[in-house]
Amino acid sequence: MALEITQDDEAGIAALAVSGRIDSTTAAKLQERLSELVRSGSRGLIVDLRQVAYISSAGFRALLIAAQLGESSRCSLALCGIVGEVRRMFEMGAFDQVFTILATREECAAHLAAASTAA
Amino acid sequence: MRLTIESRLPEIERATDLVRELRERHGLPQRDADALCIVLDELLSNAIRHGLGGAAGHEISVALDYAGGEVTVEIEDDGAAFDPTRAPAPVLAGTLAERKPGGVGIAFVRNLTDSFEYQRVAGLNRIVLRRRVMA
Repeated sequence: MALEITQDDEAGIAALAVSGRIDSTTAAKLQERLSELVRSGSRGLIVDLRQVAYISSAGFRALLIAAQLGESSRCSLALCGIVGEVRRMFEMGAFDQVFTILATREECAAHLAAASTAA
Repeated sequence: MRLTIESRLPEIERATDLVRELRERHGLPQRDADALCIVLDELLSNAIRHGLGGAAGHEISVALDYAGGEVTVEIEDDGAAFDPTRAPAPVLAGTLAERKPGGVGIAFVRNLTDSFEYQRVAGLNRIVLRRRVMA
């Protein structure tokens, strides 16, 4: 299955649910969507990867670029749904050490709301 | 099972479709099929972007075989000689701002396979990988 992204916005925070595979042919779509949201003034981004079949280095590159762009634009990124083999890939690349990873979208939303108020 | 793809990123999907066919034919676990798709994505995108300099019009051959509890993957391209098995290990330490986007692909390949070999043969890059799989 190719990459699909659905979006819910609440209080200036965009929550994206991603499904399918994130690889060198689909990662650009995710990166473009995330960059667009940062540039359009979102207060925070949530990316839920629970329905992702697999993620290759191209997917991590997209997430890293978006998170770095967000960090310099006061738009933090929080991830949830990092389970199973997808979690193993995060650990393999030590990406669990750099991204904010929480269990649920609600926890991500609370974290981002607090971060945005503190900023 | 063998396939020749053109040197364009969207063609990689045809190679990962071949993994699905192999999985269905032999009843291989999804987890192993996904790992093989990641391996193919890393090596084929690398060959297309770097070895062939993003130039279209080249062909890359991909062969998959399952026998004796392991999947063998062979990839051949006519790009510039490049031995990915000797690529340096990526720097994984650092904060979000310090991490460089890229460099982990070959480390993923090493981690997801049990053997990873490279040869330059008659002007071709030839990579052979093996992953043990319990059908």
